[in-house]
Amino acid sequence: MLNVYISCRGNFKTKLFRFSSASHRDQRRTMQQVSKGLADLKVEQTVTDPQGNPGTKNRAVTKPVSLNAATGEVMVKKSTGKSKIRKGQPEKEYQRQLEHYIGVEKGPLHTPEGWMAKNEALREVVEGPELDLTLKQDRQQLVSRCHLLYYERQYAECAAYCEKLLSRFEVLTDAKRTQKEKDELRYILKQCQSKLSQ
Amino acid sequence: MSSLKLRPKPLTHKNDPLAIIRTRQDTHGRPVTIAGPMVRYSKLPFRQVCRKYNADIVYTPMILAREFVRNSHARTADLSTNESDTPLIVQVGVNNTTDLLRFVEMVSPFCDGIGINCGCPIKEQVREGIGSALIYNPDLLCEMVSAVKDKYGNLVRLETKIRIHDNWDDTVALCRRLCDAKVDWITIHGRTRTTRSSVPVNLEAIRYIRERISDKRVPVIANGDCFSMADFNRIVEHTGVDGVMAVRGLLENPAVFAGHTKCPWGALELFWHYTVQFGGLPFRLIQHHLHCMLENMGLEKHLHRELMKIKTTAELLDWFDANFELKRKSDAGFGIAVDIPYSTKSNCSEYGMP
Repeated sequence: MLNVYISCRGNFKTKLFRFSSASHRDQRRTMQQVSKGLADLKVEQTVTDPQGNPGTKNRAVTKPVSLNAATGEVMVKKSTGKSKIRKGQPEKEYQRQLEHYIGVEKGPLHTPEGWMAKNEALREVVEGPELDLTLKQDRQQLVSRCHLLYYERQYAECAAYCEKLLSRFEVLTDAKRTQKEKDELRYILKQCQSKLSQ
Repeated sequence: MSSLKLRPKPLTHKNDPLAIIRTRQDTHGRPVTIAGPMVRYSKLPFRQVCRKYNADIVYTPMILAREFVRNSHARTADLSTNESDTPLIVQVGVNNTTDLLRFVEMVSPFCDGIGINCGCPIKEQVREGIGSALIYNPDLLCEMVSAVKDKYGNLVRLETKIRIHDNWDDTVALCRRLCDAKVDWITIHGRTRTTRSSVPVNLEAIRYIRERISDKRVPVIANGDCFSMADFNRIVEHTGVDGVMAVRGLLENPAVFAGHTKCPWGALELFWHYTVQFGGLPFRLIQHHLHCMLENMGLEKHLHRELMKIKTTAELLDWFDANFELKRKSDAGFGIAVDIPYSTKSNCSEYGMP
């Protein structure tokens, strides 16, 4: 069962439609009906700019229409003028995200000075919950450690770390995506070796 | 896990942005200085550079609440912070109360305030009812502010950054409603949604609005065209605001609030230091920051062309070491040079550069 609500001006809510099938066709038809019924809610356009020119193309302001206040589901306008529903987030799903945020992520990424040296997963390239080499963000952190060592002119350690990373990156299946990272690691390795030999 | 509860970060006189705004004149003899939010650019390393040069309060780039509360990858990409990243305002792009309340619950333990972006003119966001669309939707905006303040009261500081309307009285009416909804302070960008940034900011409009909401005793911050301390003083004098937010001016010269008329070399050294210490900043972003700062410093044109051809962070570092004296934190004189210290052995080719 899917309920569609329209919320206008605060808490006033009108239940417009109730239907049991969530098929695409039904959804599309419902959206069309909702859009039609909301013609009077279509919103102000910018009348003039400071120079007195009338509002120009694609500069209309739109108000999102709340379809379900409990989940944050809203209907917005696309550039074509068609309506699009931004799906809500049920409370249960939010609680799951919150649990992951607190329990696994431990809040936002915490990066004080010196954090890379203290992070064992990063230092030793230990794959696990903290480090997944198939994720670009995690690979970026590893390459960032290379940048730090290179910046700090710790060329011997940097070269060894580059070699370790290259061997791990080589076995990743998506070679195309990691090509740029591997190219940079090879460049750093070459530069480190050159500086060490001087 | 259900027993775990997130609580907003405690606010003291050191990190409470409202207290700082209200007391800066008494404690520092000047209104508050604020480094505003820049799409993509107000990341942790740059925020820390701004703090080193007298920015009292610093913003993150706008984070979309919808993505943040639904996606762990978005969270990792959008927000990194640490203990020294304070006072910090996390700016949020949002178009409904539910997402905002959830966002505030997740973010408030790790920052000192939250700002609702009601000024972003980018059409993709406006179409979604985010950014400057909100100043044309006062019912929703005030409902969102009330919802947060009713739930958290003074435990969470909430700001709104707005643009002006074509009719200034509409902005006055909006601000009065925001004050009634208990917003903590209001930042006013002195341009309408469709005004180009090349058009000078309308200080008269900011003054007009501030005067008409002064009875509400909610601080007002002015934003727009602050590129130097001379601009800062001019804006304060003209508008009578409680502080000034600089954004574009800081991108090219993060030391504006320290009185530097041009970006000092030390700012670049600090930026490099924080960038490699914190990690995670994409190369193109690093390059753009350095490009903006060096352009402000009047870098020789042929070097600028070389800079823009570089493709990776390591090559960029080599290029700096080849052409300039880039000090590290352990080097004497780190972070204090003002002029560009061109290297006497400028020869990029040995570093494999074009």
